[in-house]
Amino acid sequence: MRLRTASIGLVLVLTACTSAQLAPTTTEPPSRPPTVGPEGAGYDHKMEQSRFKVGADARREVEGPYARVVGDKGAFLVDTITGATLAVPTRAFPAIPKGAAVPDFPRPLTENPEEHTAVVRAYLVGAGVPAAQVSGTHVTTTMTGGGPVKDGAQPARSRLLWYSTHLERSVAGIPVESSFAFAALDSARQVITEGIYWPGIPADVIRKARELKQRLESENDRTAFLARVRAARPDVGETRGNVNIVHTSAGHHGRFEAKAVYTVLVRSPNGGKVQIVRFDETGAVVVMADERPTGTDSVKPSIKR
Amino acid sequence: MQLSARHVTGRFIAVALCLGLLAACATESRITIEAVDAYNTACGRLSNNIANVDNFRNRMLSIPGCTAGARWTDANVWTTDFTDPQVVAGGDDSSNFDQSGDAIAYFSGHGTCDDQTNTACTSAASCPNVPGVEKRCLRFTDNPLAGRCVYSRPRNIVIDSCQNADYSTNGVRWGEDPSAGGWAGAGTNGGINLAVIDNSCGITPDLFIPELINAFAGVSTIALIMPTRVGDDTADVANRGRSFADRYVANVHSSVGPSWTDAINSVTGGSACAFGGGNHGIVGCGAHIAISVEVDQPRAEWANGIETWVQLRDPANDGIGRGWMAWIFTCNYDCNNHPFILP
Repeated sequence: MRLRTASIGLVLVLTACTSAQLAPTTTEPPSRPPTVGPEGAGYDHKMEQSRFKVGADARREVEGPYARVVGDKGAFLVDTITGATLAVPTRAFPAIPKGAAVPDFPRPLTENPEEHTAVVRAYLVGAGVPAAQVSGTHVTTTMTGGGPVKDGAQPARSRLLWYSTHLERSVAGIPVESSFAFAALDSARQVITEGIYWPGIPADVIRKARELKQRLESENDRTAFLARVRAARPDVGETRGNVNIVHTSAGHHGRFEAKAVYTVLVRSPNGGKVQIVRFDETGAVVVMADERPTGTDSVKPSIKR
Repeated sequence: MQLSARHVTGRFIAVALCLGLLAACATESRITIEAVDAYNTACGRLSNNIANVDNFRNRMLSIPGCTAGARWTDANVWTTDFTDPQVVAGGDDSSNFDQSGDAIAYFSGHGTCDDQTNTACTSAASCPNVPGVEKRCLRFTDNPLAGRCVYSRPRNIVIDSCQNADYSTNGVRWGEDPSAGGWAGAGTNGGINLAVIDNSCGITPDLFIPELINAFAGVSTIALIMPTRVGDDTADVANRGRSFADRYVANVHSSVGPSWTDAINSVTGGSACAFGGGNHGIVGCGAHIAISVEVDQPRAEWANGIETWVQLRDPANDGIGRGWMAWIFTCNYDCNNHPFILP
């Protein structure tokens, strides 16, 4: 009993030590859209449907808004607020000390991206991603390389590690920018890594996106709309944009937002990052809830030189 | 109450692990963030950099393990934040981007793209020589197969007044501390183990050594965004930092370098790449890349592909020399069948 009391005490101390470091959690309740129709239906992935193997000594754990299944080969995370999932491998457990021999990366399913995509598409649609919303696919490519520094600039000598295939989402023919469903498969057709965030899109957002797209097909309406856009953001100039649906991102723990927007890419005058500027149906600039700063600056330690 | 020996042992191990984690935190656990949105008109305002670094740090701090370091934004981000006092007059990174006790420092804002040119080429040999820099012919079109010349000009962090902090040539040394040693000629007054440079044209394909080697002074890994086609670049998005931190939150025993490159899969926004794919926080074609430098190949490959988020906080894992460079990257298209560089 004494041991148990001591353990509980230690846990309390550790909790107290660590809780002070935690970022403030948004208390605003998430709102799952109440009027999602079949056209905009979402998909919540589950461990049971996944080809990701967490390995031996699997255990379930809950930490705040995160629910995980963890084993010696990796962890499968469910964000219980947004429903987003992420499977992340562990390269080596127990951890390997620096300088020790490094285990090989997983071998890829194939060096043929089309073959990888066909298998992943069948896997994710079979798991439950709505096939009617999958408007396209593409791959991302992970590669590795290295060499001695003394040789100076390196030749292009990198090798393929694996492909990840993404399902692209559209609803009513309108792209949904912020959703994703991807997986990378190894030579045993098991998942190396995967992530899915495919929330339901409210019917009124789909309706607004349809209406906006239709309006912009009329030359007079388009001219009037673009005039409002340029009045709001003169730097848009003559750059053309596209109608799409955007929603808050997979890790956003505030209120869920989905909007029909007209999106324009605005380049900086002398190069540099490219802005993604969004407008609503009135031509007003849209800023999503997870695109707002949340912190305050520290005190600068020295005078400006 | 009876407790089995196995139960007691298990609990002891769990407590020891927790204490070990806290001990590591007590040394190098802080996360410092710097970001600029309020650029002057010469380089163009941005919108999402401050939210991007806030989202990164909030996510990292949403589970125990790391602590908040400094946060500086807009006019509080200075070029001297990134330069080393031992190698350049006025440098002050020891109090800013490279502080003792920090594990990670993340910058988000503009860079410069003067490494790119519109000079057509079919091989590096067909690119004009430029004194003092390396050159490459970077794939531009598949049909006909043609490229554009790119050069290893210094890469920059740009602050609000459009001044540059050059991290390629000789002003920047990150990660030097007593456990790394003073081998880089920058004293031992730094500390970060991971630098994230989330800017435009952060590094040029295949020109990693001339553009980045000088910055390594103990830092384990530098994470960047690498446009892979002339005219393409990083998008100003608020969800890149959090996508990276998501890998930590999901699995603290995952590897840091692959976590950065894999994060591109969860980043949204951008535009299509000329070779297929695209988006994922890139306007056109590009990649997330993590680069590590160490005294030899095993240590460099460990730092780049194995080092976990927990191990990253241990100063015993600092870089101790510049013998070998290892990298991992994830492109937003099929860069295996569309290699960056024309011979």
